[in-house]
Amino acid sequence: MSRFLPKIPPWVSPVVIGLLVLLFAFTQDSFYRLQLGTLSGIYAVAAIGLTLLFGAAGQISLGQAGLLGIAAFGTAYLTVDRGLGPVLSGVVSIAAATVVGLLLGWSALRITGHYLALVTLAFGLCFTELGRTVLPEGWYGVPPLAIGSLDLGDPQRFFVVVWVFVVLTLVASSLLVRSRFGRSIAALRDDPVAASACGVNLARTKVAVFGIASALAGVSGWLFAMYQGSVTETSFSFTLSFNLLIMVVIGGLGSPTGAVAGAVFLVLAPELGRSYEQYRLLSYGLILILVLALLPGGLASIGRLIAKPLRRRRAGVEETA
Amino acid sequence: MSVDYPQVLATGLTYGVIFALVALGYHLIYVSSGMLNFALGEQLAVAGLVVLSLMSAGVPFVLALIVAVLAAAAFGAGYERFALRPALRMGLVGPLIASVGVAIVIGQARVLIWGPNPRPFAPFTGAPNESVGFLGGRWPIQSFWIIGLAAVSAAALLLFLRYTWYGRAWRATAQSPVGARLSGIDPSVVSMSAVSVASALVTIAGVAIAPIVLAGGFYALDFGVRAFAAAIIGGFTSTTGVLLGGLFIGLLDAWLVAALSAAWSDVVLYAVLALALLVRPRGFLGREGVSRA
Repeated sequence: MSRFLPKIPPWVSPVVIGLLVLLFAFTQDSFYRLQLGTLSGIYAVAAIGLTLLFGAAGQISLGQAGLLGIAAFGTAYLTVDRGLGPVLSGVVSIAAATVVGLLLGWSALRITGHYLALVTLAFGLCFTELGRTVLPEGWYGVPPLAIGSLDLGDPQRFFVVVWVFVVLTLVASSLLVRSRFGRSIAALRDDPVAASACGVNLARTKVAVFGIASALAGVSGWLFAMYQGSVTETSFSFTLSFNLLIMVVIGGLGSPTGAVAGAVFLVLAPELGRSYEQYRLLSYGLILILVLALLPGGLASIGRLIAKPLRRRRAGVEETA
Repeated sequence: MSVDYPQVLATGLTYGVIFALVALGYHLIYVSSGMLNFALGEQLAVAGLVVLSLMSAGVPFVLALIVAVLAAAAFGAGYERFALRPALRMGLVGPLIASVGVAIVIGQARVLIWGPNPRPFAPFTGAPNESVGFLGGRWPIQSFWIIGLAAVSAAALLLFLRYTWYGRAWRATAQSPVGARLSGIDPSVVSMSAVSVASALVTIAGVAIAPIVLAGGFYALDFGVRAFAAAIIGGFTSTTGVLLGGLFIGLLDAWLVAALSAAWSDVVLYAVLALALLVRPRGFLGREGVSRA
């Protein structure tokens, strides 16, 4: 069927997103809107990671917020208490989040499905409670991003920096999904036994995907610490873990572009109806249920759904011809 | 810090019985359909508020309780059909995520209707905060109501599962969905009624605990996760296991609060939950080889 419509090449969505971002950055001088755009970009990076883990590899995580939190707390600690530069502390704290994620993935080798959901949920809750108990006030005064004397902290520049990360992540993950490694993680999701028989090292692949998702969660947490300028455990509660999952599900499982769309949607949708603030979370819940029931492919499948009748019509024309 | 063990027993059993009832709800749904339902914690938290509203409309308490339980049962059947089941297309993780959506909807609807603040709820008998000495500790009078009500509802459920045709149909579905279907049992009806009965069960539990923790939602997640911990440690597939698991988590929680502090008890409890899952995913009384996840 798909031969009737030209397949969209993988480079299209990063280019389109990049152009939209540049357009937005240079036409938008409203501080508030730039901040919203930045925030959705920050969450998009973590959501791409989660869509690789959950959508592509079929490994659910309800504790991604904990990994974001580790990187954000690490960044705050290293910049505020240790006086390190933002980039160096970013590298260290992203590495820390990745190591914790690898450990989580390694320890989760024996378990799947529901049990994995609960282990990761327990990990996320444990992190939040630990943060609340040990550091109830959090950290303040995280410096904005700067490389040497180049200041990247003002809202417009930081917005562009964040979205550069989003586009890079998008390109990398699209390439990854199409690579040999990407095919082996899809095989791991669809049929572990068959994948194993074809020579896929299940354990190594699983742990590697966990590592990639945690590294992206770490990048997201690092950016978040600089965006917010302060870090408290409430920013990384289970609500964020669930929101990331909602972004991934409504975006369309396993589609990195869908994850970006989901992140933008979840951050911006409430702004469309600001006077209905109290209905925001309620609508998240309803949207989640409706997407699961009616649109299992998420936002990413809308294009396909529209294309389907078109294709059918063309196919019909060819048959009669 | 010396721990007042008789008091730990009093607090631990009171809460543990509630955890056990919620865990029994998870267990029922899990064995009959393989689904995991995150909405039960929110349903527990909303139960007391529903009964309070009915009572302020002039409905006597017992009738209000019955109406709330029946409404919860209908609601449970409804969301199983329209939220959880359609999500099965994604595999068993689908209903889990859908149930998170249901939990969010219940929690937000609760805040919209009743506001964020919890409300006082009168004990079934006696004055608020009235307690009696028993086994060396101070037991709130409500504790005996909780334990009694929980024992009666759990026993009724177990007898139902063991001796009625419907109960046997449920257990058959749990053992072999294909076999049950061949004998003329519709597994989707079993799954729907399991969510319905579990909803009724947590509503009873929610009303029973309301005089002790106030009626409101701040504890939905805490109770929900502790009941998960109970179900996991007991073994999701064993009825006795989840009930004992509930009591164990209740006592462990009360002991941790007494020996450390409320904040640290959360950290330790969640860490124990994660470790228990990693070390022994099938729990301590669960069966091997029924992993449906």
